[in-house]
Amino acid sequence: MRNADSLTVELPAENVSVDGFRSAPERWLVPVLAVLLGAVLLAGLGIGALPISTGQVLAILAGHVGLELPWSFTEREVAVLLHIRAPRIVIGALAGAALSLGGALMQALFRNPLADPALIGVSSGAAVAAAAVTVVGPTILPLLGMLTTYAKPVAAFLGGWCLTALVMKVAHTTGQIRVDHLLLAGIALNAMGFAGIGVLMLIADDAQLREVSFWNFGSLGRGDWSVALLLLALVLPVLWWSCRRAPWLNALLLGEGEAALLGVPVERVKRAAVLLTCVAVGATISFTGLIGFVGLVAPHIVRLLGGADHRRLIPAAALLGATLLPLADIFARTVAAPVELPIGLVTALMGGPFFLWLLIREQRREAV
Amino acid sequence: MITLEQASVERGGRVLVRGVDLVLQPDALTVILGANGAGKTSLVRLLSGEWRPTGGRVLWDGRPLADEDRTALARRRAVVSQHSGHDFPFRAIDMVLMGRLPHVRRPEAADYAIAHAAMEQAGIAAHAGRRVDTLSGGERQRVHFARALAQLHEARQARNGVLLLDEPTAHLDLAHQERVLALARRLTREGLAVVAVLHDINLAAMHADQAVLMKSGRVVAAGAADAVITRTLLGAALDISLAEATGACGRTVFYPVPPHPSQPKGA
Repeated sequence: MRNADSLTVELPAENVSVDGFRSAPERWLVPVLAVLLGAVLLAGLGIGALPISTGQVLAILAGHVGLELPWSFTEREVAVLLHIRAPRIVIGALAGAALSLGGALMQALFRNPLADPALIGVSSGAAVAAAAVTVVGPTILPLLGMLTTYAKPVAAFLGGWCLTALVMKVAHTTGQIRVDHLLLAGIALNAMGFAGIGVLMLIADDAQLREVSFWNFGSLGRGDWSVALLLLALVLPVLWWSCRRAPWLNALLLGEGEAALLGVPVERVKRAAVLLTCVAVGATISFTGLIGFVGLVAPHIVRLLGGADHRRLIPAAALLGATLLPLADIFARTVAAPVELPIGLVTALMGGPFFLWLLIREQRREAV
Repeated sequence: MITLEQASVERGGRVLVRGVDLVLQPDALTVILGANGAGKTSLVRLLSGEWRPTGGRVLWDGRPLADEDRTALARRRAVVSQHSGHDFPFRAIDMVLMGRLPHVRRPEAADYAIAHAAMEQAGIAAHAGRRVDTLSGGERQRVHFARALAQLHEARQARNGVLLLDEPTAHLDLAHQERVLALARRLTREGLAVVAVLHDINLAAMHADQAVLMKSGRVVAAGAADAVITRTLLGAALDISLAEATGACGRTVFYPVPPHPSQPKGA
């Protein structure tokens, strides 16, 4: 054994292995979550007003790529599965992954495990723009010849982007992004955004009021395959960047000064984290409406199970988000069928108490 | 190595460091001493490149430190800061591996070995698999020290690194204070320039090769430790009356004395 104070460093020590320090949950977290995601997706494809068995789901999917499995199915089941449920569940998974990634990035940026992607103003910006299109749009947009199905998502995305840019501008006055100012500017502009929605709701008629409220609680039922592909194209780069820059995000948790001393281009990372969160979360909620708590809770659960290392946290959080949202959607579709609950309501109802439980548990642990 | 030429720092309208001239000695342990608010941490931030001088120059191998490539600098200069308190549940080994960030994108087996060796040197290897949020303040301090050692692994072999320690003994018990400073001293023999901000003047007197005495942002004395760490200079810089005694092993030990020794306590 080497003397602890010896000057020579012998390399490599035989008993030091890359995985030697990992506990079982840490090693198995990503594979287990991947299996769980697969199971939830399969279940989501089968469950609904028209039940389709898992065997039939597999047979339909296999039939689509030219394979034959020994389960029979009808044309109606194929249509429901491929054109209604599959895009919905894929959008749900991508939206969950995007919200969770946004949450993980914001929690690293704010060095606070309780940070939420909505902090940078993207949600309220999107919500106010969507409400404006609903309430004022029918009067103005036909004149411009722009009222297409995509008017609302596009407006919501731009709204989210604008408010995030404004938050960044306020926090960026001295040439550096001050994270504390970012937080405060986010709070102020979020409040203003929701005040704007309040004003729009005052002048809205009953139908518009209902639509605005529904949008503010989110739904996965508004998209088709083109939306799923668009989300995929936007979420994948964010996932790629976050995985690639995981060591930088780790260093950021030591503090901005410490990270800079380790050679991390701190300002670049902060800017990228905000912009990528804005892209992923903005694109998601512009199609789904506001969905709370997934971005907050998913990375937090992963951190409790597998530690704070972003090399594992990022993929695991994306997988867990992609699992939780379709799960919540299954619940929203079935619990009061044929009435469908807004998914944001379900995530808030399930996520809120869970989050409080986490907080209380944390406090108890600290007290011990 | 690092040279300061009339370097000053002004932040928020306050001058924290005024016109400091300093040449950092390689192969030496330089100790920075001074009262609270004397500018010790600011000086470390200047030396590390974390802050740019608002007046004068800070040079790294003869070139302005601010022009140096961030990553290249991080390969040769490590800092153990005063407060690294945070609650994220990293494993100690992962924290130490962050020191490999300037060297490799993904740590490999060799980096784990370097990290493990650094943890052994810092006396924290037994806790490699523990989460840092479950460690004590002193243990965390040693994890950060190990991270700096892992960061400077190559620089130690090339004998061209700088290790900056801002109150490295703050949370440590007596045995670990000794251990850290003895290790710092040994690192200087490997060719590292080590700078440590210390409050314990006796610890400083025992280990330092060079000393810098600061007061109100200025350097009031700098040079060989024996010449700087004296009763009169320390007393003037720290605004305190000191007495000295010779210890068992022939070392001088300083201790504070009340301004009026004849007056009984509490009168």
